[in-house]
Amino acid sequence: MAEKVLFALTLMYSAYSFKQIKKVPLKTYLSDREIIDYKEIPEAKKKGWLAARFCAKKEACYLLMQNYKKKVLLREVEITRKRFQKPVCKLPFKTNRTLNISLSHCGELAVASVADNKAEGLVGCDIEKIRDFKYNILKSFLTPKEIKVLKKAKLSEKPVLATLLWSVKEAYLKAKGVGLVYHPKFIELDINPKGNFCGLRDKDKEVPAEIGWSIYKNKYIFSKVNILKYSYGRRFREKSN
Amino acid sequence: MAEDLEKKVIKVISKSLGIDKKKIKLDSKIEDLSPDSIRLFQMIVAFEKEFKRQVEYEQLMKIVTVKDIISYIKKNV
Repeated sequence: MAEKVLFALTLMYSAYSFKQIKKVPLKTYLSDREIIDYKEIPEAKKKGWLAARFCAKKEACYLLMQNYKKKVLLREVEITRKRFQKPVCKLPFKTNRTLNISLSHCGELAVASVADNKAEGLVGCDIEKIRDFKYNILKSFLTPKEIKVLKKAKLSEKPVLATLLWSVKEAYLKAKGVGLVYHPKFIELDINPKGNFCGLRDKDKEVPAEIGWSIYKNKYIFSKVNILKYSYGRRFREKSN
Repeated sequence: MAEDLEKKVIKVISKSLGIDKKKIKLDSKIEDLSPDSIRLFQMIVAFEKEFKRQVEYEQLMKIVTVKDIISYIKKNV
């Protein structure tokens, strides 16, 4: 397997659990509109929803400070999301650039990634609890090539690898902004049994992307995919040619 | 017949999402019932197995509630 590109967590991301933010008043980080949205979230998902927004806003404010030298309050960065669409980040000042954001939560734990759309492309992130999959489920979302790699992994590492493959596919779909209305089998990941990614194909077409992942408390996998669509994408193609 | 289908659908949802049947109403939103994306995907696979038909993923956009699943099956299976 040609190791064309080494992938690493280069873009910004952050993780928070609800426990860390439960004492923070909602009004300090949610806009009035977001507070209305929050009231409609089912009880079981409220904590994760809040933690995810907190993460994303922290990252967005940091990026705005870095790129625009603008100090923005958390509640001024408004995040809205329509069903099966990427969350949208509304900024409190006029700019021709947009922030590309992605949120994910699993129970009370949440992660978020933010990227400058023009400079860094599209970003998607995902957090999953490491689990064992039944073979019929694996067959449903993995390609035969990915199953081969999974079979070569040590028995103790199979759940991690299977969850990782799911999580990266999910993060990619989120970066694309389509979610689960796109079959995960259309995506094929080049990965070795140690979890090193060397490529991503979507319907047999190579996608210039960076993939990063990490394990949290031996229980969760966090993954992030950055589709290098703009200048980074061109550079990637020049390099690989 | 319609009642049978309703029961069957609720049974598949309950088993694949790991939630009590009593919590599933016809107007429950699938997104709210599902604890995570893997469970949601498992539910799609379970429906494909139960009704021996491949789900068209693009059509999933139209499915919001349990009632929508029943209509989809009536139309497509």
